[in-house]
Order: sequence, then structure tokens, then C-alpha cells
Amino acid sequence: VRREPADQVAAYVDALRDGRRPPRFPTDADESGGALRAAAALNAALPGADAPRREFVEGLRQRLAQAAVPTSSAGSVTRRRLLGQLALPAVAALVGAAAATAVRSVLDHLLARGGDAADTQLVPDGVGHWTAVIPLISLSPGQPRYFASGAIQGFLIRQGADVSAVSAICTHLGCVLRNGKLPGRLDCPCHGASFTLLGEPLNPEYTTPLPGLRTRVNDGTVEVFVADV
Amino acid sequence: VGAEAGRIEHADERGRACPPAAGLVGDWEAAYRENLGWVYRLIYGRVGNRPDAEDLTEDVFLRALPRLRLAGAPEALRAYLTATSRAVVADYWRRHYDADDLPSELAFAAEGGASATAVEDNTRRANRLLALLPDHYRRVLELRFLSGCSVRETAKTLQISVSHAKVLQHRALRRAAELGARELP
Repeated sequence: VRREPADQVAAYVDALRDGRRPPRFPTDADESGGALRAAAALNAALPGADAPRREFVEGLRQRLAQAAVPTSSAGSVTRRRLLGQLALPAVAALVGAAAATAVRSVLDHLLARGGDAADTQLVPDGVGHWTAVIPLISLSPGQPRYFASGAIQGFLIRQGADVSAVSAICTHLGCVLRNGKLPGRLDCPCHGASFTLLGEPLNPEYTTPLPGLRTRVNDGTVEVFVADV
Repeated sequence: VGAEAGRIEHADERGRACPPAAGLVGDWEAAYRENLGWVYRLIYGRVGNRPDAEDLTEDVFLRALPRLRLAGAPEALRAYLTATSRAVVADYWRRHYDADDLPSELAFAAEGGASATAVEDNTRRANRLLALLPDHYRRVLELRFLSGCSVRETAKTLQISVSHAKVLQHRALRRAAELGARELP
């Protein structure tokens, strides 16, 4: 049942007023798109509401310090995350060719098989390592969260205490997927392919599932098994 | 940081340490401290909540880190951080609310122009938005955003039904967006 726009906007405002991450939903520009932006601006009206938390300022400083020291192992994790945020061609130019080749060969394998890849892992044993991606508490249940680490881009999905991950690269022609217009879906902006959060294809024209990525939670931090770079 | 600064500072003939030239490694922590606050406030004023503001601010600074490490003109860094913040915010709205059809001149995304590095105070910006509205619209938004009333409390204060209060709030926000697009820089 589609909620009325006024109800959706009310729920959005309630979340803002409570300091929570607001619900995501597609809007159309005339109906609610501008209204949400106005609400966001108004929620910064009270003096001091827009001051950063001291813990955040210090935490981010520490994460940047790690990223600024590429020789330490902790630093290299963040540096890879940094690389992942660059445009794809830049990443391809910067990361080691070996890892890129390993990932590509798995993708080629998947494409050749055409389907039934729900149990296939993008990064097999022996060519990868565990890397910290994000604190578990920053994942909202059922809300896919994009991440990039080295040559790997994926979506993390939290369901209760479990976290799973699928590749964020469309198995059709390699575009980066994004959160779908409908909840519980990942959509390709290029040619219209859609996938469930488990990576299963929803569009009959594109039948290759998204490969999965292994995940684990280590001391409150979500880790993903990514390709060696 | 100290070691890096030591690498680039060298004594000239008179025995003074040369200041780092543009393009060399500078004190990124100082640049971070100087810029974190206004970048966060700029983003907060456009997403309206702490969890998203923190995530997007982190994105901006991770992208900007190589530039933070360059000792260059502070104005150039501010301009870069402003542009990156706006790009990150625009992407946020597009990804989560499919708002990419919004007209680009909509004030909340496109304000700035020539004064791209001047960030307006969020309280003043919000009050300016409220001042544009007719009384009945301004009242409902003041109750919700300034007085902290729930929809139910707002309805009671205005002596209308809860569903009417929601519709009124929706219309008031839409009107604020329309007027803001036209009136704000």
C-alpha cells in the first residue's frame, strides 16, 4: 500500500526531529522532493543543532591519520577505502593489476556460467584478506550500504544480527549499482537491470546473479573478505 | 606529521626555516581543524540530521585528504571542500530520494555561485525561509521545527485534525521549497 505523500513527509520530519537517520523513499520533484530539502534546512534552525559532536571530530581525525600513513597495515585499509571512492578508471589505474585480474577472472567465470551464482563468492580463498569496512552500528537493518575497498565495490546488508554483502557491479556490463527506487532492490542506472539484496536478478533480460562477498563482524566492526591489492 | 614537516623545511643561508611552499606537504591536521566545522554545518543544513551529516562529512574529508596534505592557499582548499560537499550532498539526494529531476536552481542545492566559499549560517538561512511563508504555513513549521511539537501536539494547538496537520505541514514545506528556490541566492 502506497503511503500518502503527507504521511511520508511527516515520518521524515519525525526522524529529523528525533535526530535519527530519516527513512529513504522515492519522491517526485513536484510532490515532495523540495519539501524534504526544506525540512532538512529547517531542522538546522535551532542554534547549535548543527555543531559536530566532539567524538565525531576526534574519531574522524584518527581515521584520517590512519589514511595519511600508507605504510602501516591499519592505514592501508583506509587507503584502499580511499581508493575505492575514486572513479573506477582511476582505481583501475592505481590498484595492482594482479588483483584486478583476479576479480575480472571471477566475473568472467560467472558471466560464462550465466546464473546460479548466489553461492559463488567474488573473492575466493587464497587471493584475499579480511578488511574492516564500517562499524556495525552504522548499518540500518534492511538498508543496503555501499562500500568500496581496493578493487572491490559492494553493498552491505544487515538483517538482524547478520550482515551479508553482494558485489555492487552489475553483471550485465559493469555499471555500479545503486539503491533501488523500491526498497529491497539494487538497480543498475545503465540498462535497467535490478537485483534483490541477495543478488538475485529480478529482470528476465539480465539473468546473472550478483556474486556474494564473505562478511564477518569483528569486535563491532563489519569486515569483508576482499581481493589482495 | 612532524617528521613530514621536517622533510620539507630546510634552513636557508640565513639559518631560518623556509615555510612550506605550495604543493609541498603541509600540516593536514591544522587544515582539518580549520575546515571541519564549517563543512559539517554546511552539510548538516542540507541533510538535517546527524547520522547522515557525519557520513557525508567523512566522505568529503576522505576525498579531500590528499589536498589537506598539500600546503597551499587556504581559499583554494575552501573552494575545493565547498564544491566536494555540494557534490556529495547532491549525490545523497539522488541516491536516496530520487530527486535528480529537481530543478538545479533549487536554492538548497545550487546556492553560492560567485560567493561559493561563503557559507551562510544555518539559523539565519532557516529563519529567512520561514519569513517567506504566509502566516498559517509559517505557524505549523515553527511548531514542528522550533517548538519541537509532534504532529499530534501541533494539531491540538492549531485545533485541527492530525491528518489535516500532516497535509498542512506537507504543503507548507512544499511552499517553502518553491519560495526558497526563487528568493534565496
